[in-house]
Amino acid sequence: MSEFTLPVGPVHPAFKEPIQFKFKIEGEKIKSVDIDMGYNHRGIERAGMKRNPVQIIYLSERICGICSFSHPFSFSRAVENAVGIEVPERAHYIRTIIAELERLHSHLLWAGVAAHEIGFDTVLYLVWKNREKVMDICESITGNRVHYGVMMIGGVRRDLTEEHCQKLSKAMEYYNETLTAIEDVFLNEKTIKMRTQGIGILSKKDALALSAVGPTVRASGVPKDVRVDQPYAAYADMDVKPIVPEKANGDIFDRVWCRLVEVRQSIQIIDFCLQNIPKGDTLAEKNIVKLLADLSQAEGEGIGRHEAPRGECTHYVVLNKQPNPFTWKARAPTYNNVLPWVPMFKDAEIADIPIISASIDPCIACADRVTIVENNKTKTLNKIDLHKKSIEKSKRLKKCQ
Amino acid sequence: MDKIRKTQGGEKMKGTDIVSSFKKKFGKKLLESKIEQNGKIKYDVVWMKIPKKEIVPAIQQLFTFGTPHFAVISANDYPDKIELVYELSVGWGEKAGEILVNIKTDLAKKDLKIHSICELIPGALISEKEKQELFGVKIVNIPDNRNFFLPQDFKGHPGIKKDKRVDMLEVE
Amino acid sequence: MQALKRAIWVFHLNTGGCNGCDIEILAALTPRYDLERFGIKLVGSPRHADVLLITGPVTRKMEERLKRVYAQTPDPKMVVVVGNCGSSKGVFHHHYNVVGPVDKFVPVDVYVPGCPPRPEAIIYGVAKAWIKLEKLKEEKK
Repeated sequence: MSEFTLPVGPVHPAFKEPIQFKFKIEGEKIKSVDIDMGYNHRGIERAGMKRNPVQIIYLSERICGICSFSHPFSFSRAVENAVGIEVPERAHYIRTIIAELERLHSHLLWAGVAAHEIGFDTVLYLVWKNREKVMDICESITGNRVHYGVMMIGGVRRDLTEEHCQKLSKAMEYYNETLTAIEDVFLNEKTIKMRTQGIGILSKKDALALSAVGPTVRASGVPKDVRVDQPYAAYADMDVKPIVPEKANGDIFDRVWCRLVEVRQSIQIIDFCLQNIPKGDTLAEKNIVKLLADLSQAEGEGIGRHEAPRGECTHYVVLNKQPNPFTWKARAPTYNNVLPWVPMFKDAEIADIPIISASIDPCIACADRVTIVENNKTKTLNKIDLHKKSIEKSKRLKKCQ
Repeated sequence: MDKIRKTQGGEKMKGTDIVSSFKKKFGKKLLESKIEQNGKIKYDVVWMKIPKKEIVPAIQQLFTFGTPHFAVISANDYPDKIELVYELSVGWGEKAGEILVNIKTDLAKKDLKIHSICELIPGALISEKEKQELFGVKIVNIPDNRNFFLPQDFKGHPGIKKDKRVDMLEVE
Repeated sequence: MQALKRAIWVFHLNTGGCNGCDIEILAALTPRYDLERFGIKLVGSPRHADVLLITGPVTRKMEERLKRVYAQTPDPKMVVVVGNCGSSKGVFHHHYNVVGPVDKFVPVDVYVPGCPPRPEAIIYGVAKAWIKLEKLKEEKK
């Protein structure tokens, strides 16, 4: 059988950001893949060189809209480590609560997207309807549904009132109940199992060599989790366990399982924080002008890490007695998870392209125009056809049950 | 190799273990080293500086502590040199057991070349590509030489602070 | 919305944004805000669309695709820009890889400001585009 190249991307009709794949196909199986990114490169680090640290917090939120709390969190930790600022305990707990709320909304978003890629649109709407409660809570605590703007170097800008804490407790009870139904759909439904088990496998050896992060690597049996390896904020006061399946095959089903169990873990973490949150200040230095003046006289380098919903988010900052930082490097978790796509796509079918590419929960998405050249005849598939192929496969598998 | 995470006495790894093993292997070539302690539960952060020729043996030395986790390669742009910072960590998988190891190396601007570490850590490919296109560093023996983030015909290195070609693009 | 004869179909294009506006557009389609009760559907190809929803500041690599998608959408069409980045580059002014707000390349009919705008604001923007589209069709007759 002759080999041909299938370019896929970068305009995607429904979700997220542009990325281009070039698949080498033999029949219906993928032999290798080439990835082209950069459609989303906005040059944020260079712009960061012209801003002071407080402005960089605002800018770093807009690196990504879904993990919009992880980047300011890592950046603030980097500056605090570089300079030696002690964050008050109450601020640690508030940061943890908001980080876990972000994990909740991000995993539920992903669950809906994954269901859509397999063809279960009803599940997409069900999960996104349930997600709205988290967005409401985030809005009442921070003031916005996306891009919260609560992080500040040395603490958080807003405090939690009694009313917020009661709303949070009620919301966590609500989620404990509704999560059972969502877990039942994803983990027990036969078609979802058939579409996800044994597909998109990332072996433990590959996961270690490529330094994957997040649920992608935990599903392959590697227990990497920044909250466990280097506990920070309120995680240091509790016993967080990395979520690794007992028999980790490294396929898509394991990743789905990891994320759903992490949602349950997030609910437990938020409950713990609500019960044990201490009283006190929320900011180490309340006067922002003084904070900026202190930072412009500071010298040092620091690394800040945070376990974002997608994996480890790392920021590196160097300060050298100037108003603007000397160096700022922001590394989002997806950059370590892009290379693992290559072994995952090997020997997979074309119909599985949507679900495999969504399984690492990328902050970049795929495809539109797909041109297949076979025996000198050109056949063009657009995203509807690719998506249809995925849905047809689900129907085929259902009939075989 | 993954099991070798504790010292002989069965205690958790410390930053001092890593620094002393590097001192033993590299001697005077280990130009600088310091250990900081960050965070609520104090964990070690090791900073070391080596000449650029020793980067591959240094990463190999780190493998004796278990498969390291590769985070990113950062770069500091000084007037006469670029300082690369290889950010890795060992000891992951145990509660409060991870140690950050940052290996720095200087590249003089007249000779911006360094050997690739992709043979040891294939996951470093994207970081190395990024240093090539943003800072103009030439990574010798890199498996794939194309630009990753910037268009293939982009002229200029946006990571360098004073780059006139990039400054002109910013005003548009 | 009395004079509306046919439901409009929208195509969403991300020209390099942060995804904030994209997830609010998707949230507008879900049962809480329910854009679909008006018959508005998200389609997979610009050739089937009446309204283009564009988000993101335009990056260098996406400029060509933006113009192509605009050309592929059949007339009469409306362009709705969602978010601050598309309206005016937002936080990304003076970035080397961001070539400009959307209206530098394609004519824009409705701007929905916000970072990101709420789903209610997006629905309002799409409704305005719908009314403008109907008026355009009436004038042509």
